[in-house]
Amino acid sequence: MTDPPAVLEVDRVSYDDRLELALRGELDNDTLAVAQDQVAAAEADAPPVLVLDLSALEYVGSCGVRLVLLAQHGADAANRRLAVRLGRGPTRRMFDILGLTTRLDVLDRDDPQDPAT
Amino acid sequence: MTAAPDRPAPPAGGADPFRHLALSYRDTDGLVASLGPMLDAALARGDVVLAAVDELVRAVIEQRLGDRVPGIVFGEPAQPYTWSGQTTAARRATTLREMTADGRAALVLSDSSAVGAPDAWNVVDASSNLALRGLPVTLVCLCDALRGDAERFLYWNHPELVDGVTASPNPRYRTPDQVLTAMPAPPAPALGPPDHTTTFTGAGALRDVRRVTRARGEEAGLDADRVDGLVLAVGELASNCVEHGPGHGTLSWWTAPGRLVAQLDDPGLMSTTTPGLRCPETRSVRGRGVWLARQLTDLLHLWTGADGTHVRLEIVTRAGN
Repeated sequence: MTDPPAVLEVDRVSYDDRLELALRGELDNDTLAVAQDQVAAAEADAPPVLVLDLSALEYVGSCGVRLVLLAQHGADAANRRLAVRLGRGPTRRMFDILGLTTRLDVLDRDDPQDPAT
Repeated sequence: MTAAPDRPAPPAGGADPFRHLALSYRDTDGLVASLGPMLDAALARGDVVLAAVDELVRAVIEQRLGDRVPGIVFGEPAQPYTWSGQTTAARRATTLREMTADGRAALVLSDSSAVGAPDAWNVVDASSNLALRGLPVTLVCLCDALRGDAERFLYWNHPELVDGVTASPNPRYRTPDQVLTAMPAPPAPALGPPDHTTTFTGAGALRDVRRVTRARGEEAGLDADRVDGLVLAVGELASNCVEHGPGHGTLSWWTAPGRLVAQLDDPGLMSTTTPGLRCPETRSVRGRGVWLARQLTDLLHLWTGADGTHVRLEIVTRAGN
């Protein structure tokens, strides 16, 4: 085993009406803490809408589901909105298999080129 | 395996639509007397009706139903059977989840001859009690009263017993955990030396586990979706070794005609007798990895022995195998 560990990068962009976190790279148990820290920092800013964009991830395991559901619980508790982008690849498939796509606010549910809100 | 619309387990305290009954019969007249009203009611409601039964019982059903026979699908939703009772139960759940996604309920008749040896049947029955939880399914196991080992066949795994046309609670019912503690999942069949083995330690090694897995899947000729599914399944199982097990493990690969086989081994002891059988509740933030891996593979079997915990998985690599 010689590969370096997985790398995850999170781009944070603020808009007037929302804060978006776009994740790139690989989201697994090795990189989950990076994503959790970014989500916690975003939640601390109390944006009306927090968007987690997972559509550009090269890999996401079920810990990515945990990340989204914990953020959803946090948004529900604070009476704020959480939305996600899942793309059309394996990330979307995993959420579909788990029956979660219909239970989340998925911005690109029908159109990958979604409007942000 | 294909993805299916999710039907979550019922909320705690809610009524579970899944029913699992045992019907003991002494002769065909008794069988017809008990089964007839169930079949009549299910067909009248438009339920999905499946019958995984031997030729004798099939003939009895056909004679009883006459021109309504086309309303029945003869065959087991978990076909083709494998040696893994966990896999059989999970396949049943996947198939029945798909068949009832349109809102219909399902009546499934099953006789013990279909699965084979009593021990195997017992594991299938106990595992089905978990895997089918939350589904609108009535599973009726038919048992010839003259056969031996009725204690296990009738009483261990069936919350309800049918006597005549009446179903009543079974006071000798055992929970799946009790059954599978008494009769743990057996080891997977032995294979020869693996074609390829790698070890991994810590979460930092998971990326390399995925790289190796992707390479094996592509070499086996899987299409892109199946490769992605295999990578996710193995990634979840390896992650379990790291997060919930001893932190390290071994991943081995075999190629066989029509299938790609992998096994993860670690020296830890599994804390559950029923891994990944219950459909995760949608609000739960954990406990999805093994269930997810089951949906992405054609066979998944976990067992614990004196030397640790093992997971065998298989992916079919060619249509028709």
